[in-house]
Amino acid sequence: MEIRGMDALLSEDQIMIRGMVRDFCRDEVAPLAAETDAGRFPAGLVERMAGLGLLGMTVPAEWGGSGVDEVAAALAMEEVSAVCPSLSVVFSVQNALVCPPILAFGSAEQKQAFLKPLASGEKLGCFALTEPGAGSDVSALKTSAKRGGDHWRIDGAKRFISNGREADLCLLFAMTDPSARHRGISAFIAETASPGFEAGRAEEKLGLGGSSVCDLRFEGLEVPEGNLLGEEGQGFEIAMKTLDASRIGVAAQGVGFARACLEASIGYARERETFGVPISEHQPIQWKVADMATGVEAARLLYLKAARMKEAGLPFSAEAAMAKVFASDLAQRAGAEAVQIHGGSGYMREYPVEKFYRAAKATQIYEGTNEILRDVIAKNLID
Amino acid sequence: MPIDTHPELSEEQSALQELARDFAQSRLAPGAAERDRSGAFPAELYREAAGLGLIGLNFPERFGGGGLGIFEAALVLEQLARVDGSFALTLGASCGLAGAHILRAGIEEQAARWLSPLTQGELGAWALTEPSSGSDAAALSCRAEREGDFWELTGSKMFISQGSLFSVMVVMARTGEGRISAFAVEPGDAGRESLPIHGKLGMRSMDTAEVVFEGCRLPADRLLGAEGEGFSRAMATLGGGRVGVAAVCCGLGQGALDAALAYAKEREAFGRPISDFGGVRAQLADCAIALAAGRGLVYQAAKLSDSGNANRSLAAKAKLFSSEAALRVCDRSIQLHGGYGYTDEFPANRFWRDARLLTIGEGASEVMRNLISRYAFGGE
Repeated sequence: MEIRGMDALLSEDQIMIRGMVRDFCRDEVAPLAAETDAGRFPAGLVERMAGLGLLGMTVPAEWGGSGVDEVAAALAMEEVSAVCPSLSVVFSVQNALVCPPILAFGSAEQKQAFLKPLASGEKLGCFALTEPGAGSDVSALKTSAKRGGDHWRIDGAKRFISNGREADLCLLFAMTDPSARHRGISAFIAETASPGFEAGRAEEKLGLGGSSVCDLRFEGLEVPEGNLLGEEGQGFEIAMKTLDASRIGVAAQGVGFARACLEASIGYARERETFGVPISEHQPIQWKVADMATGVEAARLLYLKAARMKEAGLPFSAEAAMAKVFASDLAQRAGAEAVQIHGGSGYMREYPVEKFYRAAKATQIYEGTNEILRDVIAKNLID
Repeated sequence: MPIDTHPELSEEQSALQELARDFAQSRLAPGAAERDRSGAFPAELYREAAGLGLIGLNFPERFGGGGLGIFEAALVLEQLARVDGSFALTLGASCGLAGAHILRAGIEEQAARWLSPLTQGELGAWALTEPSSGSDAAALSCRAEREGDFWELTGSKMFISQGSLFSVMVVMARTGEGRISAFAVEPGDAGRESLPIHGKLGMRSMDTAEVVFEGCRLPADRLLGAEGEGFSRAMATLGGGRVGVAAVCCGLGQGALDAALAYAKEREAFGRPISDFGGVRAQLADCAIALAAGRGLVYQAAKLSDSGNANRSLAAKAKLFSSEAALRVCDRSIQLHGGYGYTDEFPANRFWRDARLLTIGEGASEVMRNLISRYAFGGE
């Protein structure tokens, strides 16, 4: 479905990039979407994305990326999400969680050594912040990093790490000074092939079957001194700044899911007949579609606004949080309504909509639960 | 509470937004509650707003307008509604419906004669709805019959904003089988009676009336544009006006949220301000999110319209979403005010009562959903 009228306010480059991603998704991703969701990591598609420059979207060309603007990156995220939720997670981790903090906080040597292969898609990264006992409350981190000669020794465990099993590089957060609480967190870049780095089994999940999520365990993992990202104690800031921005992508993901539900529902409602007419003739169905279409447009404008603000160098974290909460809640609702419009067929794997419904639930939880984000938004209003 | 910043606002647009905000706070706020009780329309203040250049922003300068776009008009409407919904909607109806229709009719002399006064602070009325036809507007039964050089208008119009206080009223009437035309009625025309409607739930300080035409003879030059094109122009006018109404909705919701925030920071319960409670904070956040979403739709619809890409589906989405969001936000604001929210000592319930109109007026939510789904299914 074309985005009516919207294009009038996008740049030619943004429209072109969106079109390229849309074509790729239609031709190559869509045929594999169902089997990916069923549990197969889409390694071939990830490789193709690397070739198309989709794994370092906003990273400048000098560091191996495509150097596109925030709006184009978010539009691309929507396109991938609308076709394959699992692939959109791989896309999101690399583009929003791993590359940007290295670009923003890394030294020239770190960018050369790590950002280049990540942005060009030669290597895959993961972002390891959450722990068994620390999710929304990041200051409760237990993983420790202790200085030992010319390296850091890292011990601890991480939970729910997307791409954890496939990643070559891991951006991990550990306590270097537990007494300083969140100011004692530091960020490190670790090679997953190093001794002492162990990825657990892939978790079985409600949705996003093709994107693996696992526990990570670090036992005497040695990370060279030069792999400390930013300053010692800067980890919390790095994590928060990264998540602030990544929420624009999660919002775009929610819009992609909701849009897919909307498009599938329109298609199904046109075909399916009851009482001698297509169900698109029935007002209760029409109104569900109207509400979904309205929500998709509103949510898209929210993430575009946040992306534009970021691009313009304006403070955007409240806008990104609002976009994320709104779009993820929308995706969940649109999933439920799309399954409902499809009736029994909607409940079946044969039709695409239940996949988005299951995937949407994750967007309300990850990269800042909607509960914590509402509090962040309220803080912004009240203070 | 600062004004919402928008990445695409130019310096001029920000200045205009602030001008409207200052006028609303310094001139409209002091008497808003009293006007809500008395129902009096503040004609002086309206002329003052015209003097500041806040009225008719999107009309051409040769008619006394600002020569700007719907976007600028929406920014102003939002800031006015944030303080006084009746005032903002009066402006929305006078310029966004009556004025816009006259301009659309496309005849220079008519616009100079009837549109120009509207930008100077006179009021326009726009009469489509009848006692027995609302959403199904094409079923209207008011008729105009040609008699020599005159048209004779017969019938009734219902819920007409500025139905008593207008300097020009655009009236849609049947001029033949399947033909609807628009006419300009002036206050001095004989055969027109306006019956003010009292006892409205909200929007109390704007004038609303039933208007009855009986043998109302109008000279031939009162026909706006060509005969038979009144209905399509009326629908186009409504479509354009929706962006303005949606901006009013965002303003009402913002006014209610401003009030809720101020109250939540002051009011203490269990030894701390209620703004410390997670449940209260989540509600405040949801209000802000809903308004940001509505505002996004309004601004986009306005900008598309101004760039020559008017999008009726998006305008309908903006109207549907913003009106329902405003109502929810106002309802929560009352809830957060507790018992005080139920009294008119606090503005929350005025905002709620004002907002309650806007899921009904200028295209009911039901009609918006019909329209949006028709577009979604590929219709025109």
